[in-house]
Amino acid sequence: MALRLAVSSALRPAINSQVRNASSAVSVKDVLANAPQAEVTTLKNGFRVVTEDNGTATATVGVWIETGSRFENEKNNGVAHFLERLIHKGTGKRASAALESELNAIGAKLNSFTERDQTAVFVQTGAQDVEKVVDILADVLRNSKLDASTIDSERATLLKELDASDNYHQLVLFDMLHAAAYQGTPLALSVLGTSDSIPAITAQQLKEWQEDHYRPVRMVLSAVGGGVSNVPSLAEKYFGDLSNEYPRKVPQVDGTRFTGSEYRYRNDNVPHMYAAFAVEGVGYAHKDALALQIANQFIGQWDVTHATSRTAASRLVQKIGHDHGLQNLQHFNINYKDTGLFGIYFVADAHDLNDTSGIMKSVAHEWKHLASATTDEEVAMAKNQFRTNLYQSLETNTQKAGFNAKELLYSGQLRQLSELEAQIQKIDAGVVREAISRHVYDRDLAAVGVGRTEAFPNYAHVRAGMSWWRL
Amino acid sequence: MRSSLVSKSAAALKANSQTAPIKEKLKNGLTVVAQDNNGAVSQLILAFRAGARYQSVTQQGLVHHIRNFVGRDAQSYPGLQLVWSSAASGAQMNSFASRDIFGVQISVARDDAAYALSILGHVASKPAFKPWETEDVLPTIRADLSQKTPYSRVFEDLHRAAFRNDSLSYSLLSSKNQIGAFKSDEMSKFAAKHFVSGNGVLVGINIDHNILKNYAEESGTISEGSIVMNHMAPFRGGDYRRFARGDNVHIMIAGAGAPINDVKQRAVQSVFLAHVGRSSPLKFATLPGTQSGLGLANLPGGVTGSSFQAAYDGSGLAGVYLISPAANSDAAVRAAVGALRKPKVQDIEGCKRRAIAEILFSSENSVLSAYEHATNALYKGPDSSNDLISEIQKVDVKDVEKFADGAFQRLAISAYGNYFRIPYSDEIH
Repeated sequence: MALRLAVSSALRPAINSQVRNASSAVSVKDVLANAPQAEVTTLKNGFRVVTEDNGTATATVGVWIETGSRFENEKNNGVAHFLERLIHKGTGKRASAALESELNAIGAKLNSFTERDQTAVFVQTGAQDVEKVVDILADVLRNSKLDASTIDSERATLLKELDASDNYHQLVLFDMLHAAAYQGTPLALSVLGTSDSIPAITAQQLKEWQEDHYRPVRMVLSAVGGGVSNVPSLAEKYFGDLSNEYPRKVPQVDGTRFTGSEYRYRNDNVPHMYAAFAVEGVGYAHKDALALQIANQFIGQWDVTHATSRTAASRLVQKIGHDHGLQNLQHFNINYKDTGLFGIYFVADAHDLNDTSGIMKSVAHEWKHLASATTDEEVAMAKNQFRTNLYQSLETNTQKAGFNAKELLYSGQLRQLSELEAQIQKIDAGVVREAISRHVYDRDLAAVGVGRTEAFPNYAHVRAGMSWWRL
Repeated sequence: MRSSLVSKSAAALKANSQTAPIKEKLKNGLTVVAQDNNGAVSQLILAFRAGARYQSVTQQGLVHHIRNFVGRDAQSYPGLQLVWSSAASGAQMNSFASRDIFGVQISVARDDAAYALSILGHVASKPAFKPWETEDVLPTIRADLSQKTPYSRVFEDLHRAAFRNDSLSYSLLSSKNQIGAFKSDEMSKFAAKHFVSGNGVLVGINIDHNILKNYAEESGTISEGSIVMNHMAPFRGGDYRRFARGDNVHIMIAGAGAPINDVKQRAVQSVFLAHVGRSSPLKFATLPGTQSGLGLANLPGGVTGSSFQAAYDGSGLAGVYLISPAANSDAAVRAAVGALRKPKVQDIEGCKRRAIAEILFSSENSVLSAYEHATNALYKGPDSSNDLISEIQKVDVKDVEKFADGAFQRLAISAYGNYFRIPYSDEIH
């Protein structure tokens, strides 16, 4: 602690003497104020379109849909992801090969992903081909050819991948974290489905899923790049006639419930212990969401290949980067629409309970420090790091299109980056302390471990360490 | 997946309709490249002609040690202060080395770019290599070695096959036996010779050109010195195999690719590779894409493939990366070589569009753009992606056939895994 303070008090003046002309530089605030603004248009059927024309030579155009595994149940688990894959297999108008040829001819790529609460289908293309791409997107989303042979062949591939996914320990760990934290609710389900549910999903179920979920009020067409200013009128042409009628009931998410719990999957053939500890975070639009994002930055990410450990710019890494058998450390803050997970993920040799318990003791100590004693100087540093990460992660057209769509889907509002910057600047140590006190301090944890979990930290000890007065 | 990354990093340049890069060589010999795309985050790189090929035959692994020393003490400031100062301004710092260049890259909100520059100069050009810090650095080198993937192994070994005893064959990574073999004095001598103004480039994206230039001219941090030339390493071809347990084998097959400074040849090569190893534009599709050269080459069952390229000063590599069941690997290699040597390009315009699109997509990422600027500036590559794109637009089928005819007369083949069925390069006619 003394070392860190001694250093921070000697920070800027020592090196800054060489800087010239800094005052004439354009600031982040100026750049964001003058950046292209995202514009939202809503069609008569409730279909929302967000466009941001930045004049570049490329564009990303895609549709983000409010669907995903949290709308599923144990019987149809995996259906949202299954359907997303079938979107690439051709339509009534374009067979898969024709779709491939058409995209190849313009050098474009069709991509997609499904998460617990959204499916995204988007195309990266040249700015001159935006209309063609909107046509293709509408076709694959509305007219997917869900024929039996394609479904069976994709099912076989999916089952193989499901089998192989057991080897991705981090993926398994986060699925288990959701299974523990949200037990008894649909957020506990895995996006990939299970080896019981996938074989049972029928063509009819896939078709019904599409009819129930790919409805205009649940969709956002997001376009960022060059040549996207006429996308609202293209949306009207290609999606304007989409109906809001639900042949069955309107898909709803059942309530969420976080449960403090522990879930271990011991497998000594895995060379390390993979572990995650999380408290319930907040939803995307919650008033504390930004403060928790900045708090998330305090610990950040570290792994053994980092050149810094004893000189790392994190008190925690300096403390536990050595002598605890730690391989990898990543703090995370996941926001869903109405809930979230705030916690730590790490990989360790886990030869000794003292090592692993020491890691969690130090992490909990950082959380308690955040709740009670963090300073404006520390928060300023975390904010700066958060801004670098944030703006860098919104640099490409695809990243920005995803951000704009998520804003609309999760909060119904769209923040320009200049507004976000202003919100970040308002956060100070008091705001972070309050947010952490409300959501992290003395809260129950979901604790999960995969691999060599014999030395998994004792739940009761970790829980006791979540507050000062219990120690 | 990994091969496309390599291909992107080797071929991509920043193309932006709004601004063109400004490149300037200062009196002290330092080259400065600035491009302001009005982004919120600045990318800064200080790099030198000091990659793995600049090691002597007895110094293999030295640059890996030097790279991992970044973040330790500099000559005028303690490492702890530099790292914390940089982190306090929100900067993220990474050191990197290729065969051609060594450098340090910083990402930072543009408000603090000028401040981060002053840190960058000390970190990248004035390392102190204090002997007592070595014990902290060596574990990170061991950690790097433990992170090797089959792809990285087969890619390193391909250089051993292609460039034999010449300097481009030297690995980016230290061998296990060499860890700790380099003393402070040897590293300091290498730095004093290579980390000098005439041998370096300062790149800034999303920063005012004058800030960059003033720092480069007036800070005095980067010692003055002259350019260091490398020993040429022509493509020779050959074989390098490494056994690993399992039923599969990772294979790389390459011919003589375009060097960094030959823009026309790089353009033709990009189109050729877009033909040979293009992935499908659809996710969840087979790899290679059904309409690519490899896709049409009748690869045996269970074989996946994609193309890659790596451009260096005076030499290059271009070819394909395959993962094959060991039992099918003979047929896989022969079919792939057929596709490389006799390309049957039916949709040249589609290949050109894809090659251009790949460049433009990756140029949306300013970190990749900064790396490309650094390499191109130090080795006379194209000043902007527009130069490369206009050359791609001129490419026709004959150019591609001529390229394939010349590039793959001799082959370099590396394999990692169960390699016993893979034909040797001189057995493939």
